[in-house]
Amino acid sequence: MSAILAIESLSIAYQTEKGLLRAVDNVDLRIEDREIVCLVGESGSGKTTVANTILRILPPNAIILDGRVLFEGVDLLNMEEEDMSKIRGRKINIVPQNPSTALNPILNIETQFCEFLKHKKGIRERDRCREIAIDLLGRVGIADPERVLKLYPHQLSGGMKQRVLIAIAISTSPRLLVADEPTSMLDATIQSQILDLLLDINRREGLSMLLITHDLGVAMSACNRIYVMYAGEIVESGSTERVISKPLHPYTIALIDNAFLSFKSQGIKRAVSGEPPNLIDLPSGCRFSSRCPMAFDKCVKERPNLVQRGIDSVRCFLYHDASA
Amino acid sequence: MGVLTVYIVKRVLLVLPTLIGVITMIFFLVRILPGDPTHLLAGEQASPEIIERLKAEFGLDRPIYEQYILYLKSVLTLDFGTSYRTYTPVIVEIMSRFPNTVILALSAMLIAIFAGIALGIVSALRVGSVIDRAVIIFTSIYVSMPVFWLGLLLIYFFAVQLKILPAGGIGSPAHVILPSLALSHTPLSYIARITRESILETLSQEHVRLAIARGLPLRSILINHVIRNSLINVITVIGYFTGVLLGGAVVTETVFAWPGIGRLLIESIAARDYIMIQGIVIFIAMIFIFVNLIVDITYRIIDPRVRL
Repeated sequence: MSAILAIESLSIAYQTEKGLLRAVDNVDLRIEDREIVCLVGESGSGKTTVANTILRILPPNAIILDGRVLFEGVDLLNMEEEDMSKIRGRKINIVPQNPSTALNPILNIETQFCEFLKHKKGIRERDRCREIAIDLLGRVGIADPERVLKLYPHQLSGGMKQRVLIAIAISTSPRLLVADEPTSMLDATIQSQILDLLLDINRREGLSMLLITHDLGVAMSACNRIYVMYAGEIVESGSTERVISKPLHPYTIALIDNAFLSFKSQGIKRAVSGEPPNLIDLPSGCRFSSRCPMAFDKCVKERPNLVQRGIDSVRCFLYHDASA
Repeated sequence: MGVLTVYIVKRVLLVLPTLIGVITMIFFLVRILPGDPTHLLAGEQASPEIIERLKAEFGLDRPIYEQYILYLKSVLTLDFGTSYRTYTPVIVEIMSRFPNTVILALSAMLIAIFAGIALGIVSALRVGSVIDRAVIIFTSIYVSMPVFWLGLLLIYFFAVQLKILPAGGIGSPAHVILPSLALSHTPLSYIARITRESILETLSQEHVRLAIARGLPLRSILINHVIRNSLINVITVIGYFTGVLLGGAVVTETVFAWPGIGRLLIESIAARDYIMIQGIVIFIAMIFIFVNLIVDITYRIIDPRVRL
């Protein structure tokens, strides 16, 4: 298997008034061909920063401290802006978090679809564009594409809008789809439909996907592999099966407890108590130590390394001895 | 019929009740004013017979609802009565002045729209820069200038010192330049500010960020997604000021001896020409209603979410 995307020791900080905010710290992440990889973590853990780095759409106060983002073997971070804008939308495309705000409210679907096709596929004829758009809308499960093309965003439901956005995203046959919380703003029933659609597209179109989510349930049903992120670091990674059935890191264990508890109606949701550390003034030890039920002396003093075992990895002192 | 046509028809039909409302209000406002217009016409020493004859002539002896219906009918056919002062029909007087007001208002609005939108775009796209700050300071000072003072300054520099433009009056295109410059200062400043604010707001919107993430060319994003969306707010301001300026610019017209509606209104007030004043007020209200109609339709064409 060859990696479509390989992020190597990526570190990113934001310049803020209070100092450097270390949003992403030494992150390694690989996505193989046709693979769906999930990046799981709570808000503020750095997931979106990773996604924005891949597309190089970081805000101006972001500083790339270190690392490479290899896409098909080429480092995107060293690329000229002009070349990068050719990759955006063509080889890497994006499915947004909130479909309701992701379309221009004053242009109809056809205009927005055709604008994209014109710039990214060089299709200038309106009829040809309409043909392609109708075919793509059909492929994402829209029953009456001709009618939908004439509509404006406010005339479509959230799920329909997300389907339209997915159709636009796959229109250029990208190699990689970055989906940042693609279902979190949708109703539960629509969520699973959109997730199924993304899985279906992954199979049919043969593209790889980075799925960013805070919801382990979503990750479980969609991904081949999971990376768990906490306070800017990867704390655990492995196959979805292994991570769900045999989680190693105490944070992952807590997340899974939570995910399953929320299924039981009477179960009191045991939130992972405490707050993630301040990313401007990081503790010297393990970043999870203040919330960890299994923490011991060493955890507060030293920072654990990411221990690698095959495709599995974990950043916790509980597993340091076993690897040595 | 298309959705847009239905909207336009509905919107045009709405003009009638608004118009009748305005006329009704003005009719009753004038009626509750103290004093009898016939006394004013005939003079203090007029005999009761003359007063009665005048009342009969103007229909003032009839019941109020009849007067109202009569008045409504005549106003809707643009018959505003005859001026006490010049003995010409009010509508004739208004129409002899209105073209001047239109020329002045439209030239001022053209300056305001082009310069205002350009300044707003430049300053929003370079937010925080020297240019941006310069635009903010300039528009703040410009909008705070009293128009008579700005007018006098313009006359002093361009007419008195440089002697390149006429100081007042009408007659040639050159005569329009100074008064329209003076008149444009308020709309220009507002349009520049609103354009800047809406562009900044639109730039932070999710669909613009997504367009960037999809690698659409910057030019295309700016024109199709940023400027186009921002203009929705700007149109409201443009419509408002167009209405205001078409209603006559009393101060500017006085400073530049420009014979427009504003001057006519001032002259009529000075002469207590109530019929004329009433006619001008209704006429200005009609202009406002008409401009609003145009703005609403434009608004709907740009933004399909607009509902009646």
